Amino acid sequence: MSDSTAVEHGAEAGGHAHSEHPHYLLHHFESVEQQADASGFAMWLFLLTEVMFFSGLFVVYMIYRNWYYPAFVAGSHQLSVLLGGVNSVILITSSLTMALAVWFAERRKKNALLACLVTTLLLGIVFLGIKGLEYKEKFEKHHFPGATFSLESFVNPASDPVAVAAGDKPLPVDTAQRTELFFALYFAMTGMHALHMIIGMGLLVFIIYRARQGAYTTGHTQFVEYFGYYWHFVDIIWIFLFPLLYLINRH
Amino acid sequence: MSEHNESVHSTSSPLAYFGVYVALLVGLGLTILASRINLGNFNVVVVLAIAFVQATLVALYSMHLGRGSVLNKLSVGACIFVLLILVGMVLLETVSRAWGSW
Amino acid sequence: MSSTIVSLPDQSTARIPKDNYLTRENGILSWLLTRDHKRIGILYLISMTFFFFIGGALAGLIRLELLTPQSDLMAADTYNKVFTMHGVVMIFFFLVPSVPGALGNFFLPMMIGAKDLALPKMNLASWYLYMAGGLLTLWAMITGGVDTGWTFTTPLSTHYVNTNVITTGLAIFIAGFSSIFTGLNFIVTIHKMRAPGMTWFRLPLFVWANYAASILMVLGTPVLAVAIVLVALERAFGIGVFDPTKGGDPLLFQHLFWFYSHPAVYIMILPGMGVISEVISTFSRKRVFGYTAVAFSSVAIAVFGFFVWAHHMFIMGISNYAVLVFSLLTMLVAVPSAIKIFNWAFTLYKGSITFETPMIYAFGFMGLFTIGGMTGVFLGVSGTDIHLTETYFIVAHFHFVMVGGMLMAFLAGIHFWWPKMTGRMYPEKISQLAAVITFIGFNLTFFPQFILGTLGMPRRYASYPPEFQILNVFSTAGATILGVGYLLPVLYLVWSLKYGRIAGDNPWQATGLEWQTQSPPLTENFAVPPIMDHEAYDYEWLENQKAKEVASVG
Repeated sequence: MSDSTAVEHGAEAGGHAHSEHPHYLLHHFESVEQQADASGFAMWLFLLTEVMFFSGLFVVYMIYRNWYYPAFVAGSHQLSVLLGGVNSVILITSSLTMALAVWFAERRKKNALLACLVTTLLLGIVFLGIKGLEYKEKFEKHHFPGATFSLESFVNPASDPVAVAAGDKPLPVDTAQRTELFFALYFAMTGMHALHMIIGMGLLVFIIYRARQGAYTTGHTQFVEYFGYYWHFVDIIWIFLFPLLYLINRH
Repeated sequence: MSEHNESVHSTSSPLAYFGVYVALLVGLGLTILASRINLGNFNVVVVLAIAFVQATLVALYSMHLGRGSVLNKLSVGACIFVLLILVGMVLLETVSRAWGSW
Repeated sequence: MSSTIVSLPDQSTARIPKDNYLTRENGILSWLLTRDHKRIGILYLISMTFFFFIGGALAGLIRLELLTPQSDLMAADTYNKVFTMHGVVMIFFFLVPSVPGALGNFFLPMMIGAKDLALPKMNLASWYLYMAGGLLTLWAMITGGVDTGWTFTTPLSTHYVNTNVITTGLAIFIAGFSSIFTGLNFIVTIHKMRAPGMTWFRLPLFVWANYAASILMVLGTPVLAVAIVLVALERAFGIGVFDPTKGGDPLLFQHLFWFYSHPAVYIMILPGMGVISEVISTFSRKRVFGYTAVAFSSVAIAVFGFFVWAHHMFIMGISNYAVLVFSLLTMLVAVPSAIKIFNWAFTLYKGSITFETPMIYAFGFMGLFTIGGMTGVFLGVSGTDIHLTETYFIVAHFHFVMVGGMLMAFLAGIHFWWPKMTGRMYPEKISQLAAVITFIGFNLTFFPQFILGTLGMPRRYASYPPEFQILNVFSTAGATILGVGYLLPVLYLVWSLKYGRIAGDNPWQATGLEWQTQSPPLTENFAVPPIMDHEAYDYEWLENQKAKEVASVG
């Protein structure tokens, strides 16, 4: 099919005698520039849909933080700034290594590319590991919303060392019940973020595999570059999530 | 065409990436510090502003938006506009409920 | 009958071109794994026809139930499921993908002089997502259905029903991604793959309309996705986000839901308006009056469409100030639509009008959409909305714009481009008859519903006060006629595939790059990449072309 999207044309090079073009130029495009232009734009549009997706969650957050501020404060105090902060540093660093990976790919340095990609993946794994630890702690303290949700830490902060350390006062029962909303948002937003990270890391494994085969160090770096955009986007979401969830009234 | 051409690179320089990295870490520190100071309602504004600046830096440099076409920038702008409509008008509605009947 | 502009090649010697997108490859896999935008368009056309008739059967059940005042055909709960599934199937699996999926996919690249859409694999993925969502919806229907209404209003959908809300929500989520991918593809294609000389203001207005709809698809649909996710989480875990007993706000769901679903109605209608621009121009042999105004009004509808969603929530408990603001903004959004109607009317003025089938549908569109649109303005006035909302007035309003408007535009487009897609003409007399039957059936079905609404008959009720029966009987009678009107095209269009007259390149003498190639087109669309050197709807250019052309086909 003359307009199929086969990337490798090696043996069929004779059929393209009319023009020299890289094997990765798809046939419905006129030039590599057009293809790169179009693909880059498409990637941005896709990321914009993701922005709109997360924005719905941010809207919900905003409303309920506005209405139930004391409950949100108490909920936020239950999160560890240390763990969240460490995770932030990890993610920000992984963003750097990902950006450098793309840079190395463009300069055709396969080993450096691989090193950066693997580092990014490892940092992602550590991030998710820490997140898992945080989630586990929340489950154990019965702070997961639903039938098992416990108000103990909020109506009786003295029973909870974390609440004591944060200097929380006891909340009336109905306000304490609103902390369930905070945790619902916490799990929904960080969970959605983590899901995006898991998908990203799955793709990253694929990219590492292909990078070892030299797929991205022959001049066609689009896939790594656009994956990099996705990874930076996930980082940006976290940059917003961290202060909004972890840093409510830490004074 | 098959020889790679320096001018075709769409990536920023490593210096820019490290610069963004440092800026993000500084921003993180500032955010944590700011949360320790009691600014009342203004706390949220400050942390959101810092986050917004960080996001802009990442978009412009790490995501090459700055070097890309105007179309990409316009599209991001359009998305932010729609986002502001969503956030703004929903907030408007919920906040004005408390204002009563007229 | 009046004159016709149809110009077919000599039928005794004409043949379908041997090499075209249908014959280039054979076998089921060449269809199921195709990247060719034209084949994907055909796949969409077949599958959406299937879903349309499912939705239509459900509509038939609704109208049958409403023949009598009592809820005697089915239990009230079942009736709830029927109208819910009717809405879900018709909106998400017919109206939203209709013109973009079937006609946009097929013709957008051709209209701009490109070989394909920018992302052919994403296009195919889009169709598979559509099918997955559709089949999951059918599964949800068979295994118990949903009875919340297509609007999934909380807290009913989250707390008070025990039906397949999550399954259907998931299906719509998946279909939403289909829509996003299509819109994304269109935007990139239109920006980046126009042929040399094809400037923005030489684009057919069909392209502008799909562009505007695509913006809405890309930026609006994700918000629906997150609304569905939250409903699913609420149902599964009881997180409390829409539960008043836990401090949640059910209205928040509606904000997120309608933030998409209002632009969704523009996603549905804009491509149809694009079709109407093409059809009215071709069958009055005149360029569209006020091209720039029509082009910009498409974008304006898209932009303003984001500002008005809470007019679906006037009685739900939003603040009075919000009611005021959204009511005013709703007045604004009607203006660009009206601009289009005016421009089409002025296109007709002093044009050489002929009444081929697409034009009959287009006239039907103009009248019915105007009525539907105007009643939308009545509903935008919050004072009247308080009385008319949740009554049959709303039902009539949206059926006038969606069925009288969008579906007629879709049929106009199918008939208009059928010769290009298949190389064959459909039988003219029966198709004109079907169009007229549809128009009559439509009016008989839905006009009484305006009256019912003003008299106070609520929507989504299986039973009603006996004094409303006569109007309901008219409505059901009309629905039967409408059913015939919609069945006929399926029959004669399929018939035409084998027995229709050979169409040739340009049976309508239309401008537009898609008409300057063979019918059916080559897989790569153009044997020689076109260069656009004339304005849109330039009938003088077409005259010059014909003068130079040697007439032969096959």
